[in-house]
Amino acid sequence: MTTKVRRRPVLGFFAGLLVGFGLALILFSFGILEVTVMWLAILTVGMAILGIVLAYAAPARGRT
Amino acid sequence: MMRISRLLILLGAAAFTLAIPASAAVAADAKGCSGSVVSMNAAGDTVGTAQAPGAGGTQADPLPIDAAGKVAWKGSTDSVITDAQWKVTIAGAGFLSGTFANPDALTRSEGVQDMSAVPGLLGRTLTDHMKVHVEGQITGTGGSCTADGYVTGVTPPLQSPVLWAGGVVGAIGVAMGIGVLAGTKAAAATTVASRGGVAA
Repeated sequence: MTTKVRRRPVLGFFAGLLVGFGLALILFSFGILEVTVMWLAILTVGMAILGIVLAYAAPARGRT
Repeated sequence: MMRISRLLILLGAAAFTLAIPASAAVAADAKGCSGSVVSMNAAGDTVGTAQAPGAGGTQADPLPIDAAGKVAWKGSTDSVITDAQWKVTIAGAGFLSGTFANPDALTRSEGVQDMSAVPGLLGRTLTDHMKVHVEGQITGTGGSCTADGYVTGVTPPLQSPVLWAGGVVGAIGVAMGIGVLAGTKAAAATTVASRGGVAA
């Protein structure tokens, strides 16, 4: 029997999206980043991509 | 080897995200017109002034805006502009726009804007650390005017709903990220196929 790994790229995408959006709001609040639509897009899209990458790079924890 | 390549992809994506430069910083400026702004708090005390072109309202010295206060403004155009369209862009996104005819051929105007009447949450969400680029444009018959500068708030970050909203949204995202890690499990091929899972 071959072993496959069940991954969650869609969950990773939305996790990254929320982390990026939340991080952008925090960085905006403290003036670390200038408030622009560009930075908001970079952080949300960038973290969403990282979320997908995380889903495919994460090690399998055990059998379902 | 597979693990190393995945790590490189991860680091590459992170570097790409961080390497994209911020928009170029610009000072308060005006072309085809000039103006001045006095920002006041709820008590009517002046909290900031700016001129365009001129001092104040720059990225290094943004104009403080009190959400409960008022902003008195004066402006003049270098030429008579009629049948014009105007728009205000905030943080790179369109915020307000409209048209005016100017039948009296005026080149000067002034007024007082009650900030509590400004639509949206902008005024109430500005912190005293934020720097927000604001740009106004007028284009019509006889000429055009462009003015821009930076504004900030008077509320400390810890009292801003933006910070707490960001914290809550970010925490939900982190919890979902933990779900991604916890949900990555080895399974028999037949089981994965029957569930529609993604095979590595």
